[in-house]
Amino acid sequence: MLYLVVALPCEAKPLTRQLGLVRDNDVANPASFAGDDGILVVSGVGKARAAAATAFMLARYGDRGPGVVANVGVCGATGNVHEIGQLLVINRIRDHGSDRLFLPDMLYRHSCPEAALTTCDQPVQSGQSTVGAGSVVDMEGAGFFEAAAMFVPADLIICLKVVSDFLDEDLKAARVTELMAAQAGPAVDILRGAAAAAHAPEPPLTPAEQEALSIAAEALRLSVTQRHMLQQLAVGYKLRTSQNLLPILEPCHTSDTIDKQARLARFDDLRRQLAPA
Amino acid sequence: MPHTTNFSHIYVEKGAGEYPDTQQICRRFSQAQVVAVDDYKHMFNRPNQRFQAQKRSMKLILAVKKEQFLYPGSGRAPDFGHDAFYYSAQMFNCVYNCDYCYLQGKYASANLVIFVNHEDYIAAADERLAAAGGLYLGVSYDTDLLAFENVLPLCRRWIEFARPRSNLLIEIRTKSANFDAIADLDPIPNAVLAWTLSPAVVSGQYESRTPPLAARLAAAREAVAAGWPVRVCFDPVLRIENWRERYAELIDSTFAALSPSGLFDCYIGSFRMNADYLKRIRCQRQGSDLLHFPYTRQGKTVGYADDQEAEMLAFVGQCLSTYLPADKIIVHRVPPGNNL
Ligand code: SF4
Repeated sequence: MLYLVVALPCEAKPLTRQLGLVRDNDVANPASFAGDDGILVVSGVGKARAAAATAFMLARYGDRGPGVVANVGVCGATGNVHEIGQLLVINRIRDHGSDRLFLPDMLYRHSCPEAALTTCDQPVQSGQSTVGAGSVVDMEGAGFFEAAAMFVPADLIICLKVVSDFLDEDLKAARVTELMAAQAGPAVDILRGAAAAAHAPEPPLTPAEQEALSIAAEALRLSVTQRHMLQQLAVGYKLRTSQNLLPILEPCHTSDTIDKQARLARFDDLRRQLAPA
Repeated sequence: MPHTTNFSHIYVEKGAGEYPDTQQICRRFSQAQVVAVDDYKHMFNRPNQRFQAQKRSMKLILAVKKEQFLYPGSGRAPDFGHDAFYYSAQMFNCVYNCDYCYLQGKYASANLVIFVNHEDYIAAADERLAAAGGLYLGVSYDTDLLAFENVLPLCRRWIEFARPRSNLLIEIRTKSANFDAIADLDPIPNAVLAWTLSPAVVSGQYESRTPPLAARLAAAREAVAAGWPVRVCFDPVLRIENWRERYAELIDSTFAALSPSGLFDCYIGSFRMNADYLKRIRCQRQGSDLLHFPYTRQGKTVGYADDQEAEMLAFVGQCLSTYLPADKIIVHRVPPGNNL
């Protein structure tokens, strides 16, 4: 699943088209788009809006499955290292206002150049010395990252930027859409690849076994500590033997009809069955 | 999609760039992206990192250590009878990825930190040596220095540091087979090369990326032949299936490769870990049956139940006693109630 935060509608358009996302009419603001493997929220300009939209998106849609969270949009280049239209993977974000540094984990392979991004509170003009040469600037990256990091691990947060200008022109929306359209495909490929690689490992117990464990714990009236112990034993047993746990757990499901001593004896028996030899 | 390669990125702390080790490491990984950071902790200590995800693509963080170059040994690690037992942690984390490694619980990140101001460690060791009159120093602690020797020759430097200081004993503990990296050095009696050995099934299943037993034994054998004091460590002894047979075989293969008379000593310890670390590691490594064993908690330490631990250590000790005299077998048990 891809969770995208984009500042402007003209940046969002090529991405919603690429991912086949449609407007979620239940949400008026921020404009939100949803599809089978993506969510996109249009935050508006600035890091506060980016942070708010990121938090909104992950709170509202974050249960749609594991994936990556990304900020995609245009940026200005301060030096002559980059070219107009180039797609960049950001490896460092500095918040110009607070001087704080945000560092994405660069775990997933891509074939784009990388760059350090500075997020500024105001539009930056060419020749302003506030950002280091060779870096790129935007107005959202730091806000997005800070908010995303409250919800997901650092390796699942990605920032992709398309160079739109050298801080020397007033960009028209149509030009931004044109630049983004050229890189929407490669950007989505990078994000999909990262989401696939980052996929969390399957939990050792199946949902049915986990459910059976909870029912058994309930029926045996186990304390929190005993439940924890049972969970550990069950996971250990599963990993050692790969055996189905249901035949061991299900006989305990009727334990609430027996007295306390019999329940304790049943719990001991269960522990013995699950413990290593 | 595959992950980026290990060390695809090098994070250089402000001030670390001028050190020769930084420049040499950046030259060595010339394809790496170099990212400047104000403080290594901004990268290393970020909240919400996934240790095991990072293990698939470890990064290097080069920094300057500002204080505390040596740490006093904890009760969980053996002091081998030395009063002044310290360890230096010039690197945090390790290129290997053992299931039972406590570093996964100790550190927020799997990335490797290297402190490039080696001379400050040396100065701290000299100071401690002068104050205590003698020092036992674990230099490959919280890492495996020999495994990294081809990138940064820290073992070599510590050995050269120890050479003229007879009141200093250093231990270089490793699972690597990289003896070649220091094979050209003349051996000294006060630098113990300590190989951790595990049954083949353990190294295959629970010691990810480490060299197999045969390669470790071959390296240890070369070191013995060259005249180095060599320690072998059976640590942690694990209660795996048929553990008696597996450890008996391990000890037999060890002494088929190494002459007992050539060994400095032999060390046995069973699995133990800080309880909070284990809790953290279990969340990250749900697929490891070893970590989900029903260990017993004593104070802040978890490990095997007393009777199980005693049984395992006694068995391994007994197997060893057919090859070694008792004074060369060091058995370490965590003191009851150790709350470190
Ligand atoms: S070799 Fe040692 S330090 Fe390295 S991962 Fe294994 S247990 Fe940890």
